[in-house]
Amino acid sequence: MNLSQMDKKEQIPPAWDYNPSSWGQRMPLIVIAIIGFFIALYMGLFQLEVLDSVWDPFFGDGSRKILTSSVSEALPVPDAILGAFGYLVDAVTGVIGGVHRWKKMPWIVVVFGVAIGPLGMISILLVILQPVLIGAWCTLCLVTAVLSVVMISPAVDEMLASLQYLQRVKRSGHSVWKAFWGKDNIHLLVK
Amino acid sequence: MWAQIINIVIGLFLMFAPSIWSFDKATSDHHYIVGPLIITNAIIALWEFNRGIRWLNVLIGAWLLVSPFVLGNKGIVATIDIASAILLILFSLFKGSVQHRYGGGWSSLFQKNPVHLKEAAGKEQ
Repeated sequence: MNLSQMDKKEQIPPAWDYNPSSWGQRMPLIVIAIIGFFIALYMGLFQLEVLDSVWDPFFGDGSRKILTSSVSEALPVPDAILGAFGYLVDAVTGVIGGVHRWKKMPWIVVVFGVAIGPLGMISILLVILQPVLIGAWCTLCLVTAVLSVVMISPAVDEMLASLQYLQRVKRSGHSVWKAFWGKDNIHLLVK
Repeated sequence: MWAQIINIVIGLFLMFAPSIWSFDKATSDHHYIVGPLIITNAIIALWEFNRGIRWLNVLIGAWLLVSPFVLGNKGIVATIDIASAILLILFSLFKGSVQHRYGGGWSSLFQKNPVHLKEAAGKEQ
């Protein structure tokens, strides 16, 4: 085994057969988050009345009805702008850190997983509320909902690896708190 | 994995059914709630290490199976719901193949001596 092969093996969590923090695993998520960000931003700009109309190839007036509904405007900020912010957090926390981040920076992995989970939940809630409360559908809203649900599983596998690492840190008697923030090089002491 | 894809199709079918057979408002709403939940669970369960989420669809299937009796639905609605429920439960029971290793998965976090801890200890020697 040469050096680069050893390095590659070192990146894979114990009892796993791939590294969930590798760029091959993270890049598709970052791309999806950026696409979601732009779609949500587009709808948000319509809600802020920067844009006059909103594109909907299937449900005609549906998107406009939903984006100007009381549900969408229940908060001080239009819901699509909040969605855009959520996708931005997903993309940024997806980019930060190297291929060892599941053990070098568990905090960012957990923020990444936690940011993606609730975004997916809220998307589904909105998909349910659209026909039930407003009686309409919105094509781009459905697209962003699918994007956020598709992101959940591939994002939380990394979180599982980080939690298992913290479990090993706890067993070894080191500080879980410090390991969570990536301090004191605990990742060199605990596999 | 194919079983979860079938469940996604079942969820979509339940969402489209109110438009196809022009259900009343209450029956439509019921389908607009159940459909997206089934699709969400099935999409999450597509990934091997989250395959356990399929059990949530077994629960939804169980509700869908008894829903015509609870909600008093008859005819085409009851037929659609019961048939969809049986298929959903059936395909949610399929685990499918798991080819990758995930350090023992989510349950490892609650185990005394999980596989990832054993293998990490082995590597240190």
